[in-house]
Amino acid sequence: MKPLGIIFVFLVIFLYLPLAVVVIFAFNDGSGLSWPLQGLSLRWFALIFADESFSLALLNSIKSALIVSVLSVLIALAAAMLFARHRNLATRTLSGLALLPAMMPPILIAIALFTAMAYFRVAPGFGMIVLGQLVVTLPFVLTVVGAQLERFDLDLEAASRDLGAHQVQTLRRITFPIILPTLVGSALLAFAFAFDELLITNFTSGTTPTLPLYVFSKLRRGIDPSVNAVATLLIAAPWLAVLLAMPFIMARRTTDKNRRVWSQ
Amino acid sequence: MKNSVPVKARRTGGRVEILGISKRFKSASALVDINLVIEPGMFFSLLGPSGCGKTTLLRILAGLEMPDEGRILLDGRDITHEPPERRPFNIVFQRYALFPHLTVHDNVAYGLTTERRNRPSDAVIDHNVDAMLSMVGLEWAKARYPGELSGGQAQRVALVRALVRKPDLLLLDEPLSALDRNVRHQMREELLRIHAELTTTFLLVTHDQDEALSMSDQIALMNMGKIEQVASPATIYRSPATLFAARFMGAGSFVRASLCGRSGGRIEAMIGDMKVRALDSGVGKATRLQLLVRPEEITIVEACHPHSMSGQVETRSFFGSHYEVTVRYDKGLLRVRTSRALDTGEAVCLAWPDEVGIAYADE
Repeated sequence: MKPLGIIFVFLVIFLYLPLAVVVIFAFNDGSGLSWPLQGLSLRWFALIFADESFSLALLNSIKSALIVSVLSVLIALAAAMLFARHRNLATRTLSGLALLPAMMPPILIAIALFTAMAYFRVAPGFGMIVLGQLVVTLPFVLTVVGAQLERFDLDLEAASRDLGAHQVQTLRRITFPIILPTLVGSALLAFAFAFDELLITNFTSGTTPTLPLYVFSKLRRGIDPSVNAVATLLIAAPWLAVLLAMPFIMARRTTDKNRRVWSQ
Repeated sequence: MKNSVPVKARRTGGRVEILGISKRFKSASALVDINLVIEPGMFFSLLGPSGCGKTTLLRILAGLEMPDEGRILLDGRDITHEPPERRPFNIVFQRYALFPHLTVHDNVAYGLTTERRNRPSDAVIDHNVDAMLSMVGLEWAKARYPGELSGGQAQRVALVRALVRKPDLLLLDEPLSALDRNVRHQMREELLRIHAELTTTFLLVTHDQDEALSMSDQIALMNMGKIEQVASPATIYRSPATLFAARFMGAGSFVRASLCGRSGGRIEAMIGDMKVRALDSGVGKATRLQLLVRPEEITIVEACHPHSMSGQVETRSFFGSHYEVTVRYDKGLLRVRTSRALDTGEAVCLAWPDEVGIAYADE
């Protein structure tokens, strides 16, 4: 076998073998984590969906991840527009500072947030979960969206203006459709990061449970096969999200759907 | 080739006046007190080396850049502060700037769909787009995307996208620079054909003197944010007004000379110990001169005589109907046109007529 093939096989084994074990045991009827398997069963899924604290944690995770992904894309878009179109010392400094949290150990961010919350007497809870996760996702989303806007040919906007479109029309018909796949892609990235963020959320959540916290607390009470069912859901969720977003990401070319809309 | 200003009485509106336009970027001046009039129907070129301010002037005309001083009038109306979407001027961008997410049809149609009031019906738009695309032979490419077009095709789409609004002035920003040589030739002819067909005023920005000379009715030669000369291609080539113009047009070689007198509107100058007369470009009080000597003004003779200088052939280029050789003489290089196939290294005598070229003050 060629070296590249060997590397490929190792990569697949390292990345996917542990995941495969988790998924297999999630559907295993037995209550222990040992071979041989004891038949197909959905009992662990039934168990966790019957658990109210699981549903609550799942709901919280989905809610916070959705809010975080939308917020980080909006903030990153505004910031990247500013950075790409007004280059000066201030924006360059700001863009550097905005990327810094990605290089800091998350535990530092967690401790800093926790201390700040205590100092300003802000109660932990859902709002702080969102804020903490934003700190994690923003630098990544900003990097992706920023790179797209750097590449963006400003002559396209000039051409649109030149052809009679005012600024808002230009944004809606030219700029936005061209950068949409990037926005959707980075929103997905932010969703995935936020959905299973544990370290910082652990410090900012107070009594509000999220899915990773739920798994973590379950594990502390000893291995329980239902954790495998939760993990399987956690693995499936981002894949599902990517699948749903596929049409947007692939649609680098769309026809001018706005053509008719602007006729009035 | 169109060298004289043709009569184009068909178009009456769309006279553009540029009055005292200045623009500074950070510390550098991009444009200094530019004054120009572009008559309707003309093929006008802004010619100059890169960084001379010609593209800035184009962007100011389009409304994409605001001048620091000066005004732009369209048929006497001040449009200096109109936003780009309200000016009846359209641009063909250097790198085309076709909308990558729209088909060729929708790219061309774009300029007709932006009007909120008086937007034409879809049928009218489609009809116009088809007519425009057929003018450049691209009806078949309607459903294609810009990424699927060749450079020449993209250029044609960019051209008709700008023309679909029937602008008073079409601004072309180095439209041929990104094209292969062959395609460039076709495109040049196509531009002239379309210009003749539509009688729209064309303003071409270019750094290529051949391009400007072969297509324009009038050329404004620019250097360092200023206009050096505005004239017809023939005038600008035959009698460049400044030393820069003479050098940029690449019309001939330059010979250092010193002023020794004037007679009958001509300059008398000494090249070494040889006396020649030359046209005066306005040298004023300068005594050190540069004479523009054209390749066809000097003849190569068999035997040297007092009004000649000896030299040695350095290079020879074949131009079909004639050769052009560069001859090294004791003060530099001269380009000379000849019908003889001289060999490199051959010793020759260069005979000077009594009157040669144009005299410029040496900088």
